[in-house]
Amino acid sequence: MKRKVIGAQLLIIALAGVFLYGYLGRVLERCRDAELAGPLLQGARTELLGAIVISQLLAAILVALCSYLLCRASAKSLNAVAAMASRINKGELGTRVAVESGSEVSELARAVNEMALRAENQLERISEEKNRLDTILRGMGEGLMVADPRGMITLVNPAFHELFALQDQVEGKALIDISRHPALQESLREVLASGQERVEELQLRSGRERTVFTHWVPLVDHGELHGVVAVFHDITDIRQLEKIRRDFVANVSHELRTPVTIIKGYAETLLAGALENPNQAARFVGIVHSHAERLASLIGDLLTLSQLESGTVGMESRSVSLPEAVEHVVALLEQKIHERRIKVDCSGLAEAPAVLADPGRLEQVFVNLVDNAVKYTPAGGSVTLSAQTDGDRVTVAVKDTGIGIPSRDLPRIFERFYRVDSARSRDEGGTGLGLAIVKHIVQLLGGAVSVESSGQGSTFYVTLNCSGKPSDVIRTSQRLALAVNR
Amino acid sequence: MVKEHFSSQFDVELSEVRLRLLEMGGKVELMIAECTRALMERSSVLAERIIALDGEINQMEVEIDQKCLHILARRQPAARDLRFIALALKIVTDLERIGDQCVSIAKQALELNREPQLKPYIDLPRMADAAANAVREALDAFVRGDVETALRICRDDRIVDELNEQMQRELLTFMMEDTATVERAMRITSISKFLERIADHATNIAEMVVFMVEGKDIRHSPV
Repeated sequence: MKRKVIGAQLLIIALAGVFLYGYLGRVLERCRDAELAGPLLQGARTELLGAIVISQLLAAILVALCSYLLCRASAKSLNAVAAMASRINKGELGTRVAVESGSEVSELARAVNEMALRAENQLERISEEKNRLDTILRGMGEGLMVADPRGMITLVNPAFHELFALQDQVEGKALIDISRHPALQESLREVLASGQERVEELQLRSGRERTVFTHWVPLVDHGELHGVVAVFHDITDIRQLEKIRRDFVANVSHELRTPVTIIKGYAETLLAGALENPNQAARFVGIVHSHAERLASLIGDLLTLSQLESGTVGMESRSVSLPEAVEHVVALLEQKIHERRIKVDCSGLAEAPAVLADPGRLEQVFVNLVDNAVKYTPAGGSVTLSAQTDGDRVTVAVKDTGIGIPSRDLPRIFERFYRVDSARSRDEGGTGLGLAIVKHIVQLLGGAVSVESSGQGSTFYVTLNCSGKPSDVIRTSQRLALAVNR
Repeated sequence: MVKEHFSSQFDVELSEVRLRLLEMGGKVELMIAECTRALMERSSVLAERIIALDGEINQMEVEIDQKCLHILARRQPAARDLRFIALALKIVTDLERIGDQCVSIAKQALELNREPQLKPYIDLPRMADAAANAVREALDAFVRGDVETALRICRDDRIVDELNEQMQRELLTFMMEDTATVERAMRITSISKFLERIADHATNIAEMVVFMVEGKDIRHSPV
């Protein structure tokens, strides 16, 4: 830039020099022509030459000064624009340059300003878009992975990290370094080779064992494969529920078939001639009766359970005295308790506050718990009921000195038809639904059940709401309404 | 592990070997998990499936071997790359052997399923878990070039060995008490032995990882 300016200056001076020299030459020639070249003229000629040289020097200085000043003015605004451009280049998109009207570079400055503004807007939009995408990926329950055509991972979301129990950064690594599950490799290879979508279910073993539904989609743009997106949907819970439902149907059929087969068998025997033998007939009819009874109680329990589960059952919510309710239950089971010579101690309930419950349903809870306790306690043992108040909740404990429950069965004891010892339970006339019913009723009452067991018997805990404060009444009934609606 | 090279085709070949090796590892890991399940759940269907997988593993072994030999012959790798190829050739053998042990376990499980269970298995699943973990961690150490984990696997091999000895003693008492149990007890004894071998192969892989990363041979030396 500067070099150009200096060049221009030199050119001007040189031109001026050439012009002057030419002019001088012509003057001298004319003088010679006129033959006036005397000594006088010779002196004047020298003087003239000196004046010309001086004036040319002056002209050169003047030109240099002018052009320097001019250049400096425009270079200053040009420098400002250049500085701004370099700052924009460094990422400071907010930079603007002042536009001087009339200046030569004002057009340029305006254009650069406009360009900066547009770039800033564009970048803002892109980062907004990226933030939105990030938020969506973070919020997704499904694990997501994007890989390039070489099988290198380019993007994953937090759910993917969790699913594969990963701690380190995975972007830039190969899928095989993340998981060596054979089906994953096969799918990736297949999708990359065929460019077709692929859907499959697989068992993951990294971290906890999970059942995962995977959906592979190739990223194809203008017929060219740019990579693959895989979505991993954790369906462990769904599969678990399906299994429970399948088991339930199988269990129900099995439980119903057993008494029916027995009734049918004895009825056929009776028809085939046993009726003629009064002794046998009475015994067989007794057996038929007892199994019909079992069938009836099983169907009754099933109906209760399905009502409780569907939430269509009406629940009263009023103040119930615990000692009274339990006394009533003990009176109902009097005969059984007496037969087995079991001591039932309810003295721990004397101080218990009144609870908020449906009296009939609460009784059902205690009938099941006390009946179980009596059933699984050897003759001469004891069943103790006690209560402990904690704020506006009261926990009733039903403790027996029975055979106890193995610890591996404890978590499943409240499941429908779950039995620790199925032969024994059926001998005792159990339907396998009692504890499931207990759990459902207590949950509908806004309470909770739990169990503890050791070699020396088991303790069942039922936590209920006290009916003390009116606010509690409202809260509980609301919760009830919610539970029922659900 | 694959360092900068002048020839990128060479890189592609090396990473292909690595990919196939890890894939084979994944298959073998699955086989260990499945044969434990076949044993514990007494599932003959599962056992048959594992036996069928053996062919695939053998085929992978041959394929990886060929790839390695091809690289050796055509590229004459040096230093780190040579160590890697040597290691791949060895790991492949270990993995194939593990596959074989799994098939043997599955075969024993099939036989065991024909008769009632001798006793509840307590130490067996523990051993199976320990062996599966050792294989998984050895392969993880290979992926990450993690010498620390590799050394730990070598040290932990003792635990599986002890469990195996304990099993052998326990089953011996069964056999001495009741000769009717001999056949089943012998089968369980051999399963225990197979699991112990699987853990040994995992240790071999771990030692190779140390060799690959540090260029130091730690075989047959106290860790």
